Amino acid sequence: MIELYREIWKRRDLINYMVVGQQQAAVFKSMLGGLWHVLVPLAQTGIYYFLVAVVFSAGGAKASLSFIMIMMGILHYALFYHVASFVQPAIHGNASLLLQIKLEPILLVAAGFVRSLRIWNVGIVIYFIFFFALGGTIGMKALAYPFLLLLLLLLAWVMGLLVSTAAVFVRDIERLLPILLQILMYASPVIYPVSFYPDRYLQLFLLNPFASIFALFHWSILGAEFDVWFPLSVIVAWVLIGLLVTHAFYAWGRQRFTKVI
Amino acid sequence: MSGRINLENVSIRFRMSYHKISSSTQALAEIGRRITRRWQPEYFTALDNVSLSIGNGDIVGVIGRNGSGKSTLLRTVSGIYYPDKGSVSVTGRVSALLQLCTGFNTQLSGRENIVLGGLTLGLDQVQIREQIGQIIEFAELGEFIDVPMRYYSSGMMSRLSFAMVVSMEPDILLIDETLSVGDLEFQNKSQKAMGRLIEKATCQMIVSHSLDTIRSLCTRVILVESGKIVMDDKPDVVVKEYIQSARVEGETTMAAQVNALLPGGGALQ
Repeated sequence: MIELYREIWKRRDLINYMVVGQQQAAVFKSMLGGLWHVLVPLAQTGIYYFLVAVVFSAGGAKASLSFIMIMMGILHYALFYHVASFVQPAIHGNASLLLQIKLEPILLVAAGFVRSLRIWNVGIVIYFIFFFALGGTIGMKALAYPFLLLLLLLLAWVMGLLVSTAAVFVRDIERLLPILLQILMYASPVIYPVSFYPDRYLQLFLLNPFASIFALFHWSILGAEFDVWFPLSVIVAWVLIGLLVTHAFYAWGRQRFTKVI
Repeated sequence: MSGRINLENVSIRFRMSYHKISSSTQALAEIGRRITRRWQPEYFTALDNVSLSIGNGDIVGVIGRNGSGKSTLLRTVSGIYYPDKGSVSVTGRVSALLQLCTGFNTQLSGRENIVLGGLTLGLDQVQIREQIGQIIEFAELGEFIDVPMRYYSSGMMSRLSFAMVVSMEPDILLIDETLSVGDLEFQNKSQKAMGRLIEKATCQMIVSHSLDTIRSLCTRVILVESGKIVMDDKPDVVVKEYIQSARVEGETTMAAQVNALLPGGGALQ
């Protein structure tokens, strides 16, 4: 496992060049080009805000707070959608390259992940601009945000490596993943507060790693009050077990990739 | 075995493509059939118990009919395929020239693709910077080098790819088929460059259908048939045997075809 990360670090220039090439291809003949990375998250936030806060009058808070909460959820959760788009096809989408050159497939996964991060970063910056512009304030709990962000990235990496490996063998993943992500989004406090969960079942809901990490964002940024140790333990356990299982699966798969792609 | 390339009892098999699982429905159905022992997947053995040792100074030609396992052998040596049985050990930096234009991104310029291609092949930025001028000059692309590659003709792409290939300094060189590209003048230039590349590498494997190339370049030739090495000897001996077996088979096939066309099955021997 360590060897793989050493290889990623050693070949970071290649990963960056791959990302640049993919980005240029993505904006080819697009009039708005990279501006879409700003417009899409704003539009998504607007749509969900209208649905949740206006149509269903949910959230039980003033409008700007609901908007900040929904924006935080949507823009942070977008990372998983980017991973589904760019990381999931990273191995089987580069079949011709892998059949001609000896290349560690995890580099392609890393390139897809870096591309996802670059687009996702734009949304996070937009979020904090809106957060402060709408009067949001942060307290001491915000110091935990970088650590929570790291956990979110690790969870996304685990998911990316898992689905990119699995998609080589079963292409249904490509169709299934966006549906699963949508279900997980509604099952997690992405567009609604943690208080929506019935107290009796709170821990049950928080066993879902997505629910745990977003509950912790609510605690860190929006000041939600609950016992953080349980969701923190859940997310750390999911990340650690996920890393081990996913790497074992990748190690099994990498000897078979070129025979089945 | 103490060569730079050692293969010991290597076997590689592939699932027949029409049995590949591409959906979870198929996967579930197959699991069901497997449990009930109604069906087992079919496999195609591409390399069958192959043992081979190639040392310093060897230039090994690999010949055989289409689908005999030559390219699989090269891909196994280069580490692209993992063997199902046996072991492969390769000592030294391997450059496998299996196909031109691999890894190019047509949205990037020729110059950017040189960097991307170099990085893909395992060079670092410094090595690429040292060679980039030489590559551009060899490819004869002039001002097009900074133009996105989508505007290149296929010949221009091949020339650039070839220029990158010959700029490398591998210990072990694996070449699949003749890499002749461009117009006549460029072909002459590329053949000379390829000769220099072959001189630089300490050992090589060359897969080619051009028996003249094999005879003139190689110090040793192996004949591959149905995934097995059936002959490993001096170029003249192996090439002669290969031509003879191909001729016999060609005559037999032609006789069978003529017989089938004749009324009543025919009797042409």
